[in-house]
This record gives sequence, structure tokens and C-alpha cells, in this order.
Amino acid sequence: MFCCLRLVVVTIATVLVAGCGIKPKGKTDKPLVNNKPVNYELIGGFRGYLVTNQVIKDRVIQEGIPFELAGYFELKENQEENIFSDITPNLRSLLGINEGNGVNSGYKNNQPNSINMLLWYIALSGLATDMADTCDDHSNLFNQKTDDILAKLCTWPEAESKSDKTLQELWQLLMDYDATNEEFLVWRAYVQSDEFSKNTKKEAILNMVVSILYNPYFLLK
Amino acid sequence: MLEHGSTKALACLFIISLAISLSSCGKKKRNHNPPGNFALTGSPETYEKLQWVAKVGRVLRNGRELSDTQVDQLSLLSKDQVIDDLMKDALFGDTVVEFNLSYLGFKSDYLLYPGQSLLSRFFSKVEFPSAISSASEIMKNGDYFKIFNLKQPMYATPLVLNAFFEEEDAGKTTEELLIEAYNQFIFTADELVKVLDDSPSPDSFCESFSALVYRTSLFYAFGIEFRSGLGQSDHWFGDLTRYCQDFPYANPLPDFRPRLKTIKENLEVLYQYLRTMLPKNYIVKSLTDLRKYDNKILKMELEGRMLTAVGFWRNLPNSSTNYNRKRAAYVLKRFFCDDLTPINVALPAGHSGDQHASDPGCQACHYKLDPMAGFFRNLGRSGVNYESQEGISFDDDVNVDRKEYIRAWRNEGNTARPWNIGYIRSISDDSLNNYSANLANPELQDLFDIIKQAPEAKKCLVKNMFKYFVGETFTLDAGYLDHLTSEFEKKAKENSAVAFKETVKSLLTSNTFNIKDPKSGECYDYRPGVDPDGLPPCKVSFVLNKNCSSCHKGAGAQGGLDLSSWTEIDSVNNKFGFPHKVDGNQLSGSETFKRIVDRLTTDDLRLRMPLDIHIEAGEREQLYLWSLEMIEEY
Ligand code: HEC
Ligand code: HEC
Repeated sequence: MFCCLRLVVVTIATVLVAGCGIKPKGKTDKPLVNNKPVNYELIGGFRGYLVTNQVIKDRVIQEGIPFELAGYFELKENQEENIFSDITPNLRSLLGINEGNGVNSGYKNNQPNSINMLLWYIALSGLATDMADTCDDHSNLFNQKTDDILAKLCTWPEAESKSDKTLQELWQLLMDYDATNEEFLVWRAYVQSDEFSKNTKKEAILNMVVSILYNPYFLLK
Repeated sequence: MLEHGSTKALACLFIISLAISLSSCGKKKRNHNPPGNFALTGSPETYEKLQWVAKVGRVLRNGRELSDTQVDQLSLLSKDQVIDDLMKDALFGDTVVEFNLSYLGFKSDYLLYPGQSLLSRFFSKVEFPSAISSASEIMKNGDYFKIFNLKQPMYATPLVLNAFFEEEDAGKTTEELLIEAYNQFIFTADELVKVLDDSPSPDSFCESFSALVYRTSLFYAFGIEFRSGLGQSDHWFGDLTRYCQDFPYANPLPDFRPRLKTIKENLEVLYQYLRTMLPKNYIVKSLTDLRKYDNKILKMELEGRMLTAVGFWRNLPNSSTNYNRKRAAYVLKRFFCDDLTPINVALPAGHSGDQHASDPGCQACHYKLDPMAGFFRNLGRSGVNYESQEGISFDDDVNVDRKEYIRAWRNEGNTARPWNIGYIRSISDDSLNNYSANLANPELQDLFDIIKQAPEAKKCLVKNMFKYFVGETFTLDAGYLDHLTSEFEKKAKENSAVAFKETVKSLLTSNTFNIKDPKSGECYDYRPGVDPDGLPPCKVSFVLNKNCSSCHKGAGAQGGLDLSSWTEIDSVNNKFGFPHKVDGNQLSGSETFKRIVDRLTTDDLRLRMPLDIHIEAGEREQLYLWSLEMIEEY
């Protein structure tokens, strides 16, 4: 399962990097900006593990509850194997990290690659699963605002769970002001599509949440 | 998450691909029209302001988000007001500490991992009083330039328990343990006085004395060790210890009662001080809440918990062969933004026979590295000053004769300036260099003064601010940097903390900060009044204008090379470059850039550019590195 998923993500991440103007340096067709050749590199890179974790805490987690996205790398109960369990403490450093010993310092591992995109997926879908699970079992992990929105999503496939209003609330909760209006409209159209309506309740919530959090506007600086 | 079963796996695959197809190109401009109109909060304009407020909030609050209500309220204010408001919050102090650490090259997320409080990370790896004191100064509009000065007061942290000797103490609070430690000390000291009153024999005294010393072990829970270090100190048990160690008590027992009285008084002072440091009395919400270590207590020679510059020395050790070059490289890199890129130096005729390698290849770095290292010459292992001693001991455990060692920096035969120690900009023109005001004996403090005065250091600081507050990867137009720096310098003459805040304000209201889909290599802010159209790429255009254009501009440009404009030089391949005509023919881009690299790096003074004019090392480096990049392009 993990191997399979890994392959899938490697492929997809390659597509992600190649398909979006995020080209590796080299003698590719250089576009001109102001009549000057520019290199398209990914500006900014990941916000980094620490910032992303703090952002999630500030937006959805109940105050005072200890929370680490990296917790989702750890072995869950009745899960048999976890290739990452031995190296969990180091994994978050693959998601963008500041290091400095005076002479060498800087922001490392901040460019997306197949491995860290998989790690982000594991962490974010772990969080999304916990959100979807609140439909059955209330948990005290999330703050009131998040619980209120989740309660509406839990009525899936009722109209309220995918109304413009609910979707905007969910978007604003998770994305805050990080993205553009266009980005929201594309996402809303996706969630309101016929294709999406085939999801079960849990799948629907999981997919809604992950597709917001896996967005570059959320993950990148 | 990720249960077994292939249907789930397929579902996952579907989600990921959807999520990616949806989002991966989000940062690129969309070609298609979005379905529908503006659907988020407010109008597009108000939304943009909200976006800006939320982002600025995160930047100035050290990563913490503003609540929705706060964002709404702040968005009604002007941008300047928003920034002013947020800068009043203690979280801004933490932001400045973080910036300082990044500027000093010691920002490390590893230290922020869970379980590590803000404080313990300072203990565990980096202890930088200058990062903290200069940030505190920002909050009270004081002297931010303390950041340039490694020598800062020590900071004390709240009293925390670090070890227990007795299992039964494990459940006690810090306060209970402190009271108990105090009571036991006083009780045993009184016992000792009683012994002296009743039957003053060396045996009975020394027996009770060792009981007292043993009882003080409770203080070890606070990192205070009376038994070893303080056992020798005359504030505490020094003479008593020495007497009792001198078995079989050759001397008659002195009347130690007055000494016990002063020891008790000292303990009282210490106890009252430690009470103020209890976690309930000393709450550190922000690093700028940290208190300076009380001088009175410091004199008592306690070890205890404090923040000192130890992290600096530990991270930048000196060895018997290194001659402080690591520390010098650090200073050049951090405070002068000089990465020591090896560009040949032109040695003036007759320059040779230096103690250090006179090979131009080595001199490229060592001409400035070694004189900088000299400021540290008397500091040995862990930064200890050996100036008053015969020998000097290094971090690699080697001891050498100090006088012999520091001869490496002697400027033999020059009585006016007996040391080759300073901030060196030029080998050929000594008037450009900065030396200590005290030529006879340059000290580390003089280096801090030089940094404070040097324009390169201000520019470097502002450059670091741009990187931290706007973004690492944006290209910074050197003209814009120059503009920001001169504004900063003007204000810093009045007040460096205000200058810092105003510069942050300029950065957060800049175009670059607000740009939605930035492209690498492009600049979004220029010096006021500059139209970038037709100018060379922003990365270098200002530097070329400053150093080259006086001779390389327009029709009569020297060598046929016009370094002031940027035009299409190859319409077939759509390539842009400098107009560069030799015998009426435009040279190819790669040829032009090869010639530029040659002229920047040659050690022949007749050919080296800019001809007979000084150029800042950083600017030569910038042109050189960029030209190498451009040779690749063509
Ligand atoms: C690119 C810049 C540069 C050039 C060129 C350069 N050095 Fe250095 N050198 C440094 C720096 C920086 C250090 C300090 C390194 C450290 O300790 O981290 C150093 C350290 C040294 C040391 C001390 C090594 C030790 O720690 O024991 C010696 C000796 C030395 N250089 C000799 C030379 C000689 C000889 C040449 C020419 C062949 C040369 N260097 C060229 C930058 C340079
Ligand atoms: C004080 C005047 C002056 C300044 C300033 C100056 N140059 Fe020159 N440069 C000349 C002269 C004169 C020549 C032509 C004579 C020669 O070939 O040495 C020349 C020639 C050149 C050439 C060789 C052109 C060829 O086709 O061979 C290059 C490349 C060059 N300069 C680059 C620069 C750069 C880069 C700067 C700025 C860092 C600069 N110059 C600043 C005076 C100057």
C-alpha cells in the first residue's frame, strides 16, 4: 500500500513540478520579462513545517491542545507497518527548515519534491481524516468555529453541506486570506460537481479539506 | 488514514491527482475565466487589504495569526497605522529576536521542536545576548546597534529545577524546594556557630562544616553548586574549606563566627533574589521579557542559569593553526555580507614577503580575512581572554606562547601602525581601510565600533531585513537597496530602533511584499524615479550605473561597450544583452560576458575594471557572479 502510494505520488509530484512553469534551471526556453530573460524557479518554497503547523493550530485546533502535524507520521493503532516510524523525528526537517551554526545557515528543504509532497499528503490527509471522523465521534481536538463548520459538512449529502455559504466558510477557515478569489471559485466548482457528489460522507470531507490544504497557496510562502 | 485495500488506494490516487490538477498551478496566472464573480469576503479591494493585513500580522507576530476580528478591525486603518499597531505588541519583540538570529546566522528550527520552550532552546544551542538586548531596545526605541556588539550583559532565566538529589524531593514545587534549601542552610550555619560557641575544636568544627556543605546540595537543583566552585570562593566557604582541607589542622582554629555571619548575609541576598526569579514572579512570555542578570548576584560568582555569548564561541572555535580565521570569516559574512568569493586581487607592484601567503590566489580572501582575525588574537578557548597571560590555550587543546602567537599580526618595522589588524577594503589604497582608533593595541570592542560605522554593514543589515521580512528568493534591485539603506542611515543617526522599524515598514508596504505571482529574477521595487525599461537586468543595473557607466555609456562608450543599456542583440534567437561593438560589429553575449569576467578578475592593474576606481568588494562579487551566470545563458 505504502509502496504503491509512494510510486503514485512520485509520479504526480514530478508532474506537479514539471507542469507548472516551475522549471529546473538550464537552457530552456527563457521567457522574457521586461525584455530580460528570467529563470522560473519556485519563489519562496514551502512555508516550512513549523510555520505550517502553527498556521493549522491557529486556524482549527482548540487552544491549549498540543498538536503536531508530524504526529500523523507515527504508527496508528492497528496499523501494521509504517516505513517512517523509525525516522519520524527527522521527517519534519524534510518539509522546510531553518538551520544555522553561524557559518552555514539558511532555509533548507524548501522546494517541493516527490518525498516531501508525499509527507505533506500523509500529514494533511491525517488531519482531514480526523475532521471527517468527528461526524461519528466528537473530539475535543478542534476549536468551536471548526466544529460548527464540520457539523454542517457532516450533513453530507444534504444541500447545506455543499452550499456556497458553507463552502466559503470552510475555505476561509482553512485558507484564511492566503489565496485568490479565482482559486476559491475553481475549488468550489470542483466540490459542487456531479463527479464529487459520488463521494461518501467521509470521502467528501476528506477530499474537501485535503484539496484546500494541498494547494500551493496554502503550502508555499 | 491510509487503510489497506486497493479501492481505497485508488480513491487516494484520485484525490491526489485531483488535488494536484486543481491546485498545482495555482500560483500561475490562470488563462481561463473563472466561473462567476467575486465570492469571498467584501469587494476585491477590501479583500486585498484583508489579505495584506493577515500576512503582515503573521510576519510581525512571529508566525502567529491574527484572529478574524483583529484582521477586520485592523483593515479599517491605514497600512502605516496597522504596522505601528502590530509593532507595539510584545510578539514583535520575538519577531526581532528571530530576525536577529537569522541575521547572525544562528536561526535554527530544530531548537523549536515540541517540549523545548523558547528558553530552553537558548540554553541548548545558541545563547545570544546581543540578539535579545537589541530586540529589547527596539521595543523601547533605544539602541538597536547593540546587535553589532557581542559583549552584552548576561540574561538570567526563571528559576527552573534541573536535578534532584533525594527522591523524596521529586514532588516538590520550585518554591518549596527553594525555601527548604534556604532553611537547611541557615539551620546548619547556626549549628556551626553553636559549635564555635561551645567547644571550638578543629575536629568538631570541620565535621559540622562538612555537614553544612553537604546540606547545600539542595541548591544544586537550581544549578547553584556550593560544594565545588563556590567552596573556593571567598564570598562563600573559601577560607573555611581551605582550613578544613589542611588536615591535620596545623593552625589553631580561627574564630569563623564573623565569616559565618557574612555568609548568612550573602545567602539572604541570594535567597531574596532567587525568590524574584521563581516562575510565578518572573513570567517570560516573550524573549524581550528576559531580565538582565543582577550585578550584585553576578559578583557572588554563582554559576546558575544565564544567557551568555557562549553559543558564539562554541560554534566558532579557534585552533592553533586557524588563527581566528573562522571567526573573521563569520564577521565578514554576517556583518559585511562578504562571502569571500575568490576573485583575484591585484597586488600593487613590490608587494610581497608578507607573513601570510602572498600568492594572489590566496590573497583574494586572506588580505581581508587575516587582518580581521587579529581583533580576536588574545581570545583562546571558549572566547577566554588570555591577554594578561604568558600562554594561550585553544579549542583544540593546544597551548602555545601567546606573544609568539600574536606576532602573526605584527606589522614589523611600522611604528605608526604596529598591527596588521583592521577592516581592509583595498590593498592598493590604504586610506580606504578602517583601523582601530587605538593603533597600539586594537581590541575586539574596536571591531564592533568599526562595524557600527561602516556603510557596508548598514547595507548588509538592510539586505538581511529584506530577505527576512519580504522573502529570501526575491531579486533585490541594488538601487532600491541603496535607497532603503540611505533612508535607514539618515534615521539611524537619530535613533537606530526607529530606523529599524521604519525600514520594516517600507519593506512591508513595498510592491515586492505584495506581489501575487512573483517571477524569479525580476525586481518589483526600484529607487524612486527609476524606470527600469531598457535598463540592464535589475540585479546589476544599479551596480553597473554606479561603477561602470561613467566610462561605458552611450555612443562614445570605452571599448565600444555600453553598460548602461540592454537591447536585443540577437533578433534571430531573441537574445538581449549589452550593446558591444568592436570594429562596428556587435559581439555575442557570451563574448561580452567573458570579457567582463576577465576584466573584473585580472590582476593586471592596467586592465582591471573599473579602471583606477575603487569598487566595493560585494559589488565586484555581484557583477562577477552574475556575469558567470550570463555566460551560461548564451
Ligand atoms: C575563497 C577564499 C579563500 C582563499 C582563496 C584562500 N583561503 Fe585560506 N581560508 C579561508 C577561510 C574562510 C578560512 C577559515 C576557514 C574556517 O576555519 O572555517 C581559511 C583558513 C586558512 C588557513 C587556516 C586553516 C586552519 O584552520 O588551520 C590557512 C593556513 C589558509 N587558509 C591558507 C590559505 C592559502 C595558503 C591559500 C592559497 C593557496 C588560501 N588559504 C586561499 C578563505 C580562503
Ligand atoms: C574610468 C573609466 C572606466 C570605468 C569606470 C570602467 N571602465 Fe571598462 N574600460 C575603460 C577603458 C578606457 C576601456 C578600453 C581600454 C581597454 O581595453 O583597456 C575599457 C574596457 C572595458 C572592457 C573591455 C571591452 C572589450 O571589448 O575588450 C570591459 C569588458 C570593461 N571595460 C568592463 C568594465 C566594467 C564591468 C566596469 C564597471 C565595473 C568598467 N569597465 C568600468 C574604462 C573604464
